[in-house]
This record gives sequence, structure tokens and C-alpha cells, in this order.
Amino acid sequence: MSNLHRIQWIDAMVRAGRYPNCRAIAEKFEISTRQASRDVEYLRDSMGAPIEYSAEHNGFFYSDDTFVLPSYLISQEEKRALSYLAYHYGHAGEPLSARLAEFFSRVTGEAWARPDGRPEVPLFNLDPSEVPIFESLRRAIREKCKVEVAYLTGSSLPTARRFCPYKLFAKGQVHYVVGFCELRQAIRVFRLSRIQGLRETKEPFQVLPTFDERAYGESVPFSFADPYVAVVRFSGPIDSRALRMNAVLAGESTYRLEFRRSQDVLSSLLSQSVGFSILKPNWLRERLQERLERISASNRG
Amino acid sequence: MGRKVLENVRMGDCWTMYIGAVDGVLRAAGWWSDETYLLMGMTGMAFHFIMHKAACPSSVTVYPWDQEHLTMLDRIGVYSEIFCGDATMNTFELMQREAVERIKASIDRGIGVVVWAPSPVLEFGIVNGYDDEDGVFFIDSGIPGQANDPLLYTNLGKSEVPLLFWQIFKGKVEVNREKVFRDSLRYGIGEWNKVFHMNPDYSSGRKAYDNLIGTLERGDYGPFGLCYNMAVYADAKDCLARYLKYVAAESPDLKGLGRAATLYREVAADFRRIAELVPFRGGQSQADGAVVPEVTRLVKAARPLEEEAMTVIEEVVGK
Repeated sequence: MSNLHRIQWIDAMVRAGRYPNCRAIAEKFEISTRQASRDVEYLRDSMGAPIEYSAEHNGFFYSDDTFVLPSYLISQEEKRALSYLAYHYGHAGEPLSARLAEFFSRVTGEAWARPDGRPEVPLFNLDPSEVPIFESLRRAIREKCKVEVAYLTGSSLPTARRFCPYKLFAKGQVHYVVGFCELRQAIRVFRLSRIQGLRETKEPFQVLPTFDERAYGESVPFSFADPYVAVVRFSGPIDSRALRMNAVLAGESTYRLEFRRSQDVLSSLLSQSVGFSILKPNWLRERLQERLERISASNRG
Repeated sequence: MGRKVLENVRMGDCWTMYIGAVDGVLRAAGWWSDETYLLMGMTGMAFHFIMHKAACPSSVTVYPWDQEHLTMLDRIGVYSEIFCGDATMNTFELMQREAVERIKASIDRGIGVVVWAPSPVLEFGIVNGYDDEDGVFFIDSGIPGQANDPLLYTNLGKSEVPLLFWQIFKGKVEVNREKVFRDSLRYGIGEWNKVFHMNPDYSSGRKAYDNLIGTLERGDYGPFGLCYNMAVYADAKDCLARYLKYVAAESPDLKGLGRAATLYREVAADFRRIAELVPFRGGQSQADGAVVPEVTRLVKAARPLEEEAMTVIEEVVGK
């Protein structure tokens, strides 16, 4: 709030019985009388000051002397931080947290809506460097616009990504955003602390129908472990959607599959109508062989 | 590019997974040949009784791993190196890279490594091999099936409880058995009388009973946690009863522990009955409300027995 110092000065003058008017305010701060007038309106309309104009004294006075200037005069930066806190406390699911969220929202002047989701963030640390990133992502999620991020990978390698942000969440006091990564062509989770830079775009996106937002939150099992990757060549064309996992074409009839459990990927592959061979990894090929041997052994006469 | 698998390094049969893992590694290395209950007793782990205020399944693993695991193994004469870090730390990638090399080096020496949560199961397990081409460790989590899918090097320390813990075993010296007995018993007395736990939501020893009884009476426990904790502690109390009996028979100076062994046998019987009433069945675990009054009664019955047993141990060993 850039007019904070002017508001405080007007309040002091009124209290001292000096009846400041718009011209005096404008001269004092070298602003237009129109801007000075807006400051007085702000004091009256937004801060609830009982400020009135006295024609007799050609200046302003308080009609109720008990008025006290609210102590929550905040800067833009503080407002952003409080907005961030309001969001997180609003998702904490505790009655006290909800009251705090409401309070923070009132201070920032933003509308507060009680989230109806599950608790996500009971407690967290506020890292100031994450606040602008958090704000941009929140806006991009709301407007469903892609973002470009400079992201430091787990191996500390800088990468540039175009990303469709779906949801912000926290786990173990670490903040994440989940969404669709165009580089990886898959749903990915990024840590906010590793986002080195972010640019919002106007390019719209649609949330993938396979995305399940309930799978990402404080109280649901989640780890930021990498998925396994298999490279599989099929003997004929397949409908990659029928594999029910992230599948990216990596050559003629060859797919790069991401999976979390060997039994899932093997069951999926064995349910296909065409033949296949696992090119990578070796361990998965061995698991397939063991499984086929077990099936074969149980069917021997 | 290397690959090595230690086929003989498998988890030991113990509900306390850390000891199951240690048992498997030490046995394969030729550094342990006694029964597992003695490993539970001699290391002191059998004395662990930690309970979250709502019986969270983490109860059995919330203690300072680096400090306790080092000391437990030292107690039985095994020299080990331990690392404990957090995946949210700034230098995690360096920790992880170092861990991969250290673990592989141990496998190359023919010694398995105990790690935290090598599978989705949030418990200790064993790394018993690696394959550089696939970038994976081969593991045993003590649970048959998919839980033993290999662990990507890049996922070491990135479980749902993202802690990077490894313990590498480097050598063994002989330790006087009498000293082992006394050290473990003194450790047990300390655990029983512990006033402050590292996390205020958990309590140890005598005070763990308060947490357990409290959550049973309030009914705010999770079935999974209650059932899992009871399975682990029923086994631990049984190990403890057998250990005390063994020590009383082995050591003339400590034969007074026979009375404590008898009392612990009764405690173990109560816990065994509790574990039957609230059986652990993984994600399908249920704690039927109808059995909770009986479970509560058994817990309340066990507490004074354990108190008396610990008093006997204190008298025999000296404070």
C-alpha cells in the first residue's frame, strides 16, 4: 500500500485538530488534489474512518474520536505474503486455521472462500523466495494458462520447461506444484524451491482427464520418487491409451512407458493383443520371464 | 557398468524390521549365528516400547536412528557406519550420490546394507545387490511380491517418509557376553524410565502405556497403526521374555532375572492375545470396536506386570 505514509499523516493531522484538506495533503506530498481526495476516500471507505468535512474549518475531522487507525497497514509485499498464508491456512481444515485464513483474507482485502477439500497443510514454513512463484502459479492455475519455468532438477541441472500447472500442495512442509510437463509429456511434480524463474503465458491448457487431484496432498500417500521407465517394442500397432500409463512413442512401434509397480506394467503388457519385447530394463525382463515360467509351470500336466 | 547380487542376504524373521534387516545382513556375513530373539535382546531393541498418542504406525520407528542403531550394533561388537539425511536438504543429491557408491562398495565386499524404506513399505529393509546398467539396487523388504521391485538409484531416500538412512557393516569384534547382557539391560531400564521422547507426540516405556490406553479409550487410533504396533510389540515382548530367561540361565550373577522373565512371559501372553484380537492384515487391518474393551483391559493388566519386571531388572543389574 503505497499511500500508507500519507494515511498516517492525515490521521495525525486530524487527531491534532489541524483540519487537513485535500490541497494541504497534495502540497505536503507533492501529489494531485485528486490523489489526495482518493486517500481520504480510502481512509473513510476502506478503513472505516469516521472522517467528515467541516466547511467551517475548511478541512477534515473525525466525527467519532474513539476511532483508531487499524494496525494492519501493510505493504504490497506483506499483502502477498498474507495472501499466501490465507491460502494455506484455508486448506488446513482446522477451525482455528479457517479463522486465521478469514482474518488474513480480510486484511488483504481478498475474498475468502472456505475450501471444501481435505486438509492439506497443517503447518508450514514461509520461504519468502517462494511467494512470487506461488502467486504466479496460483494465478496460472486459476486462469488455466501455461507457464514457462527454469527448473533445477534433482541432479542440480537447470532445465527449461513449459508446464500446465494443475494444483499446488504441500507435503512435509515442502511445497509442490503438480501438472503436465511438455518436456516429459507426462504429469510431473515440481518443488517450488527448485523453480529458479517463472514466466506466465497466455496460452490456455486443459487439465488431462486422467489427472486425479486427490492423489496430491498432505494427507495422501505421495512421494516424489521417480517412476520406473521401460522401453518396449510391440510387434504391431497398439492403442497406447489402453496401456493405462504414461506412454511416449520412442521409435517405430516402440514406447517409453512409465510405471510404479512391475505387476502393473506386466499385467498391462500381457493384456495387449500384440506381442512385445522389453528392451529395457533388464530386471523387468527377468520379472516377466519369472512370471511366465510360473504360469507355464502351473499349467504343465 | 557392474552388477552383483548377494543371493544369501535376506531379511530375518522378525516383526521389528530393523532387527530383521540386521539379522539378515550379519548372518550372511558370518557375524551372527544365534537366534533372532537374542539379537533383539542383546542389541536392546527388544526393550523398545514407543507409542504415538493415536497409535500411529510410525511408533515403532520414531527414535534417533543414527545414535541408537550405532550403539545397538556396537553393543554386540559390530562396527558399522551410519548416515541419516533428509531428502528436503539442500545437499541431498550429493548425499544420495555418495550413498550409492558406499552401498555398492559394501555389496562388492559381500556385505548387505540396511536402508530405510527401500520399497513403498515404510520400514527398514536390505539392499542386497545392484545393477549399474538399469541404475537399480536389488532389495529385500521382508514382504513378498511387488514390494521387492528394485530401487532406482535416484529414488534412494525418496520414500513417502523421505529420509536417507544407510548402515554399512564393517567388522566384528568379540565382546564379553556378561557385558553385553548388562549393557542391554541397563539400556532397557533407561527406555522404561524415559520421561521425554524426541517427539512430544510419542512416549517411551512406562509412558507409552499412557498413550496406548489413552487412544484406546478415546477411540481416535487408526486401525492400521494399532494393529501394526501390537504385532510388533507382541513379538518384541516375547523376544524379551525369552532373552531374560536365557540371560538368567547363562549368567550366574544375573540369575535373579528369572523372575523378570516369568513376568515378561505374562506380559508377552497379554500382548499376544491383543495381537490376536486386532490382527495386522496390512491395509485391510481392522480394530473391531467390540474387541477394544478387552484390548484395553489386557493393556492395563500388562502394565503393572512390566513395571514389576523392570523393578526386578533394576534390582538385579543395579541402577
